[in-house]
Amino acid sequence: MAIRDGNGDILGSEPTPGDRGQRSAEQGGESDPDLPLLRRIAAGDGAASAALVDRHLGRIVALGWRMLGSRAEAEDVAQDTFLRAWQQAPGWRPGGARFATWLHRVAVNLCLDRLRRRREVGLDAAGDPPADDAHPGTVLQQRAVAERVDAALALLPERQRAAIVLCHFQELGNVEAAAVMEIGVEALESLLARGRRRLRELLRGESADLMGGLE
Amino acid sequence: MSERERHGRPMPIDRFAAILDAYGAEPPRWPTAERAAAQSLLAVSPEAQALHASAARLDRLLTASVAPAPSAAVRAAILQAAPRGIQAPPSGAVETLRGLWQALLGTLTGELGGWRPAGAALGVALLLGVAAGGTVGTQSSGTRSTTAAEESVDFVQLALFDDAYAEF
Repeated sequence: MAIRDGNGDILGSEPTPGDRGQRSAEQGGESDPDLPLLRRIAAGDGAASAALVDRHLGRIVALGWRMLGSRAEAEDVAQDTFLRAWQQAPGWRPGGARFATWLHRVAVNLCLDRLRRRREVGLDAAGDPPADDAHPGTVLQQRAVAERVDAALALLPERQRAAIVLCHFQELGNVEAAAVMEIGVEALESLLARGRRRLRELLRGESADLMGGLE
Repeated sequence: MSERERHGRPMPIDRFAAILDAYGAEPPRWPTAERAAAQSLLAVSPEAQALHASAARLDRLLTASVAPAPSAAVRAAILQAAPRGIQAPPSGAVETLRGLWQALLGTLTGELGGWRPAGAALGVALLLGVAAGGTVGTQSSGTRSTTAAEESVDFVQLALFDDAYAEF
């Protein structure tokens, strides 16, 4: 049975081996670490559902937050992603994509849909406002660094941002990230390189100050 | 050049720079097939080391970004929607309904000379009637919009132990 993503598209070819590289590039099938949980979920095992959520929810919320800049929207995306997962779980068959790859792909597509809708209605980035509670010393500096980095990330074109979020923050291997984005590895590398170059430009003027904040 | 051809040859500095541009300074993020060659070049080339240091600075900045943890509310909402097997009905309800069902079947099949399909159909009809009658006047003032017929089907499914996920 073909595995389809949230948009009904068939999830494409599978990763080839490679350590982080390799770990992330495992074929789905019986080696998929989520498969035992999915089988138990199909049998109505609530504990398995909770285990699957605890395994993936944090990463999916993090992905949504970095793509959308809003915790509320990130949690909406996570909820929609898992709703689709619950629809798929009873009929999940090994042999296609790893479940985690599929989950990331659904989440990324949902984020891109939201960003597209923002553009269509002319909304600016709907990110959370910076927290204004005071933090002393180093904590304050670290928060300032984080906010500047997050702001720079939000300025990247969407697909460059997605590539960096998947590879750097979600720690997917290049083959798996390319599969999530339905592009080739070379195209992924191009997005990553352009994205990192843009980030370097955006943070260049503040680099010394930021690095000082991290020392 | 294939990965096999690339293996064992010194990595050109341009390719090393391209890897750093895309994947950053941490070797575990580098493409598997090229990692050993890249690390070999890094060990001996001052130019590669300078490029690596620059990439590491950006990596370090990115590490400052910390995503929020999911709220308990979103976790609960997701689990609320999770697939469920046969739900455990209230204690005693199953035995009561099963007993009623068996009694009806026994009566009907005995009286109809073992013509079970027709007896079962008649039993279902009787159950529907009983359940529908029992719900009249109780649903209209409630917040649920469930009809008497739907409620009756629920009763019959419970009695028959229908698997709600059999259609998946």
